[in-house]
Amino acid sequence: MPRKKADKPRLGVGLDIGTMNLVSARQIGDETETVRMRDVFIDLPPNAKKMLKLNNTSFVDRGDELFVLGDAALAVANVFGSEPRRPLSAGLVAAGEIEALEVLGLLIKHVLGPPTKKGEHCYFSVPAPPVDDPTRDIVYHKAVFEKIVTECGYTGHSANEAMAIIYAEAAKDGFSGVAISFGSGMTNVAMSVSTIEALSFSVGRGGDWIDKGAATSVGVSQARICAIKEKGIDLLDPETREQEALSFYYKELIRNSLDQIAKRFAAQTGQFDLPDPIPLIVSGGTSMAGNFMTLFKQVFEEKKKRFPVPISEIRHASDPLNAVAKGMLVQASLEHEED
Amino acid sequence: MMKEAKITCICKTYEIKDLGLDLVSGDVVHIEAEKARTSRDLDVAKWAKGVRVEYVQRTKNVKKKVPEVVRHAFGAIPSPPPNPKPKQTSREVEMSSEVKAQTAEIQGLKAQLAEFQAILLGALKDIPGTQQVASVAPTAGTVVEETDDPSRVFVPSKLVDDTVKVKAKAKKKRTKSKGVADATSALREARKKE
Repeated sequence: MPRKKADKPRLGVGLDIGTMNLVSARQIGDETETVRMRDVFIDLPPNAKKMLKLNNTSFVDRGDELFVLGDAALAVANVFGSEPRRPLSAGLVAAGEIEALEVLGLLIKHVLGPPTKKGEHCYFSVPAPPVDDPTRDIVYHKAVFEKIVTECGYTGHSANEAMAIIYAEAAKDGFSGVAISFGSGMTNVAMSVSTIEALSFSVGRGGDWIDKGAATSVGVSQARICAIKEKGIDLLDPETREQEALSFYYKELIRNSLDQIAKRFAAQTGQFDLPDPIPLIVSGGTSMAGNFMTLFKQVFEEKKKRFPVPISEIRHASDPLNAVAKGMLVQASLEHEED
Repeated sequence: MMKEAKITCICKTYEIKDLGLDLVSGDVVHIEAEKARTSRDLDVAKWAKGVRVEYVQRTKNVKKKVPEVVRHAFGAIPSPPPNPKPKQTSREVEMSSEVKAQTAEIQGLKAQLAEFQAILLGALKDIPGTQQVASVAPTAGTVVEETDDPSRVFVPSKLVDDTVKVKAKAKKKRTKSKGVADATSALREARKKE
């Protein structure tokens, strides 16, 4: 049966590489297809194969060890009483972690799928250099993913994570705005003026930093805090001590991000003009917590008078979990049009 | 904060003509990063391992406050007389002539080096794709910009194993929305205007 025109995938794919999730986005007809996979794995000895088969758990057999990838790794970790491993740490891949790189290769290959045609353009996200830890570089991180994407049969292009949010969400604002991506490992910020990246940076604080801080302050495990968070929390009305701690650290993260924007903007005064106020768009998995946007607006109100960037409105991305992947897809699609 | 190139002379003496620098061993000079990148003589100097270059971002120098004049109840305390200049000893006189001799030697070496530089520049022009090597040595309190030269970053090959079939669950979701298509058209139009 011939494929309907509507089902035919258009050329170009976007890839969001995050500490917690990998997300790809592709346009198929008039639909956008996203594929999401948890960026975790667990390695098990070969004798665990029988138990995995009994549980109907998918795994990768590498002869001397088995890997369980993605969401299944979290479930299996509980059963075997071990910790799932994350190939990325605070948003970046660590040099020397060869096993982590190989797992990343498998995860990305699965999330991307085969290219529609050889050399299909794939835009993948990279963070901006972290301002709070200048020793962490993104050069190696960029090179690793460019290699992986190329080995998957694509033509890889790296692009700033927060700018992707501008491309996905700020079309009606002429692609001018401030985008903040609150991720798990880090928070990325970009300011765009009519499609041009005027400012970008990242801080090595995100959802994991919140969990760690809250866990330490109330003396419970990070896993417990994570479970409390995932069960659901109202940041404006915390009920337990753990929720109070979480709310505090969420507020601190927002405050720190806004302070950094003000600081970085002040350092570049005179380099570009902002004739009109621009929107501030918030995205990322960490921004999905209950009443996060209300809390964000409250913190912003406290800083509004001294905030150097004129803001027209603060809004949540229409699809906070997939905005980066979609923004990457926009750029990849254009790349094919220009070919 | 401005990005600068920190040039350290690691040989006996080196002249970088197009930057107007005349360095001796241990000299450290900061110049604008942009100037450093466009300097051909600096390229030669790095290649010849005469200098080491690091890209740094220094914090602003804070001017020391000028101390206020302290008014005393009984009038200003007179400042002490300046210390008399110490007489040069015979050993110091000897050292001055030693320094003079060394200076003359250095001048001679500089002239030789200038000739060597000219030969190198001529040879470099014939070599296609000569690459820069910028040393990266992060030090406390500075931000060091790494070179974008990809050959400095080793990434292992065959990170994606073609023989392995990945069996794992991924969440696939399709949403009917014009968002991406509209954004792509808008971005195309916006880029045309630039």
